[in-house]
Amino acid sequence: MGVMLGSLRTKVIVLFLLAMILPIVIVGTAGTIYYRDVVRQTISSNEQAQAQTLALLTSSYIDGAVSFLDNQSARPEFQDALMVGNVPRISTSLATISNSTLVYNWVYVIDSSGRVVSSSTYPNVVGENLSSNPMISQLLVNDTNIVGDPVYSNVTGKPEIFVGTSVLSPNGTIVGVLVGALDTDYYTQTITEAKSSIPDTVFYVVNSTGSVLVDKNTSYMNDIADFSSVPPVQMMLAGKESGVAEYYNPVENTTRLGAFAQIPKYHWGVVIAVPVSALYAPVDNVILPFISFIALLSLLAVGVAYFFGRSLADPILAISSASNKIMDDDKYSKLLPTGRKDEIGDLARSFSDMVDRVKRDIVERKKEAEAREQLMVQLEEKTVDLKKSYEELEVKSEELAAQTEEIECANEELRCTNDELQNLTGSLRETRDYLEKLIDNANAPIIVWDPNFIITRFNHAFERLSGFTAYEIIGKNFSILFPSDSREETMNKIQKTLKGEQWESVEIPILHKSGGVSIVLWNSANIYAEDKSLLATIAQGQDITRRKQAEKELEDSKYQAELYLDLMGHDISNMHQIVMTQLELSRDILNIEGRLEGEDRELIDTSITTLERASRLIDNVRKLQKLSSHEYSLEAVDLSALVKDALDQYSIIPDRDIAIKFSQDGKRMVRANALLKDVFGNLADNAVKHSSGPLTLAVNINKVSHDSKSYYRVAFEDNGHGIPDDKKEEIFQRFKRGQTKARGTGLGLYLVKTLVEGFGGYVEVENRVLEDYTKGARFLIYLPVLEENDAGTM
Amino acid sequence: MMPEQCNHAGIAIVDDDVQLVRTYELLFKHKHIPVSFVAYDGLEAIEKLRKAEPKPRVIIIDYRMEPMSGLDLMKEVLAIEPRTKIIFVSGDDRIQQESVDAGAAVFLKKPTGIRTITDTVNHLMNP
Repeated sequence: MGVMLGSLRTKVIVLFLLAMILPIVIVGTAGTIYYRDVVRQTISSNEQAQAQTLALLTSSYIDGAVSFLDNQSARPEFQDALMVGNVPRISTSLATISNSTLVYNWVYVIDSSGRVVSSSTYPNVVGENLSSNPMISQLLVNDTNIVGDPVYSNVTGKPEIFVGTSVLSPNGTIVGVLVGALDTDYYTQTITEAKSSIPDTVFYVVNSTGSVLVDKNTSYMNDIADFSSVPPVQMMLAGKESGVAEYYNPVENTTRLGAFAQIPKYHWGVVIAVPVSALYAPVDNVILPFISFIALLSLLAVGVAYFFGRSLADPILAISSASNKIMDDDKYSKLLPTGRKDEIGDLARSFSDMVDRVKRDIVERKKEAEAREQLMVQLEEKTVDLKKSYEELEVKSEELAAQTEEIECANEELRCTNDELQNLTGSLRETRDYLEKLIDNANAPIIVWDPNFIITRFNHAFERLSGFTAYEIIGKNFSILFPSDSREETMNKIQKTLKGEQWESVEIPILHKSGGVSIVLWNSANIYAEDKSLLATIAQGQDITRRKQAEKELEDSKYQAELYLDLMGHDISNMHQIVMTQLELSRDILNIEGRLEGEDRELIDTSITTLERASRLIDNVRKLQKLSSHEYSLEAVDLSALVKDALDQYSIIPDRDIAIKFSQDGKRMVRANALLKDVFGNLADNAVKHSSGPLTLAVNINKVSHDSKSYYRVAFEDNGHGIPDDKKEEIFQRFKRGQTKARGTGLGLYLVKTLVEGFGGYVEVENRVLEDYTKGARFLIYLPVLEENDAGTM
Repeated sequence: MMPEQCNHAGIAIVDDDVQLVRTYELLFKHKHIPVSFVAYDGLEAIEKLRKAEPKPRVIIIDYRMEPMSGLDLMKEVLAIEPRTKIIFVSGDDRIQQESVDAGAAVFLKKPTGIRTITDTVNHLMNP
């Protein structure tokens, strides 16, 4: 059973826990924080006092070392030995000095020139000149003593702190310097005796730049490590005499509390650094028992809370459960705490009485409802039975009426069907007779074959076509009607009709009984039974043998015509070129030689003109041929521009006086092509040929309407010999000639008419002067106007 | 303006009609136009063109010839001597545009008067 956070029991337990544990936790936490702060303050003060003590101790230690060296340098025998340069005595004195103290590792002596005279430990420095050393040079000038900064010594191979003092003669002059190297290990050992009681405490001495002088960790001493960035050292370098600083040491990965104190006399400083974790160890030692106490107290509180929670909440929960199981007499009565002697017991007993009364009431109401339901069911059953009986009666009545009506209709239909069958049989007989006659007597050959290609019908027209009688053919295979060389191909075509394909104008050769072959154009159709199975195929033919022959002859004629035209275009042109060139050349030569008389010139000129006419005739024939073979397409062209181009070629004709009157004012678009220019060229040519003396060509263009259509009418006038009225129709016909003085073929005007009609127009001719044809002719060319909308769709 | 001095001189005549070729020769002789060579088909014309020194400046070529047509001959000639001017002659003016597109300087339709021929030749030889 899960814990219900909202239940009465849970709430009571939580309330007890909060009341008992919360004050203990608050008081304990506040006490711990306060105690930690007190401990930190105390340890900080202690560490700072210890740093100050070490600073004083170090100052005294160095003072003692300096005094010792001063005293040794003042010894008369040492001074005398140095003055006279008695090295053995000096060495003896140095050995004495070195052996009489632990403060110095080794000592050496420098004479007044700065040269090392003797050394207690390292003889290899003897003779070395140290006059340039700042400390030595100062001691050779001034009577004093100096404590130097740590320097790396080449002699010992490690950093050394040298202490030096001037050596005086009896009369007070400086005769040399006595130098001692401090034993830092001894110093460290001395200081360690006064170390902190806190474990893992470190201390070190730094000089005025933050470099390590002394450190328990000798590697820092050997490297003369720079500690100027460590917070307590930084504070000392900033001038603070003593204090504490908490800082993180990344090398150790620990946080330390560093207490520091300066040694003012030597500008050094001492630092003692304690791990912060060690500082709070006493506090942490107290916290653990405290937390254990709290946990124990909490367990006790839970027990107490659970006991009181059960005592208060369980009876109420029992009443709640009993109310949910009120219909279960056994469980319900067991759950109720009716045995209690307190108010909750009273409540349980009252609740039990109330439930008993309600239960009795419910049982009585249930019995009444069941009795009512039984009565309703019986009533409904009776009603349904009655309804069924009534409906059955109605259905029986309707069925009887319908059956009577159906019998009457069936009788009537039988009578009608009998009549119709009699009529239909007669009609079918008539139709069959009619169709048989129609097929037999049709002009077109008709044949019917069954699905096995057996001929079942063969009309008279087919008899005439094939030379076979129906008696000879019916019942035979269809294939006997085809010539052997095309039989397979034809049978393949017929096979397709069985698959439902219908013939529409299929050409099939048919064998004649005499051995000849006719080409027949066939149409076919399949005849199907009611069950969609193929009954027969009927085919009707048209004998096109003669038409095919005519088409072939026409094709041959066309080929011949093109061949002749090609011959004219090339071979006759060549001949013309030869004759024309030779005639013109002859005329030139004779003219130059002065042998060309009047009639001779006329003979040559006439020959040349005739050649030109023959050439134009060939051109016209070729254009007519192109027109008939539809080689030219139609497009939008400017009528005015073409008229002008055509007339310009006739403005200067040798030996003729020709005046042209035409004004090209604006575009007039028609649907034609470049051959339109030939229309006006031929008209001009015609006028030149059929005139003598001065010739005037007057052309104007107007827009006119005819049969609701717009046309451009080109009026082309000349003042030539004119055209008699009875010849006006003939001049446009092929190979007709007008009755004029000049001779011509007449093909030019036929070409004019053909071209104009090809462009959708027509041509008329009339006298220039009414009722006097001798004053010249007027040709009227009508061409449909091409509107802008039409031009866009071309 | 003097004709360009670049080893090109005279006119060549290519036509399969012997009489027409002879007529052209007489005409050019009369008009003092030097004839470089004459040929009666395309293959002969190409051979003579390769050998001719100096090369003809103008060539008259007939359209209808066998086995090589005038159009094919003209393309060969222009491939060999691109500066050669071609006068293309034919009785059929349907091939006028095609011949000009293929590189002919002038198209003349047969029959053409001698004045037109000589003016055209002189113009092409002395541009």
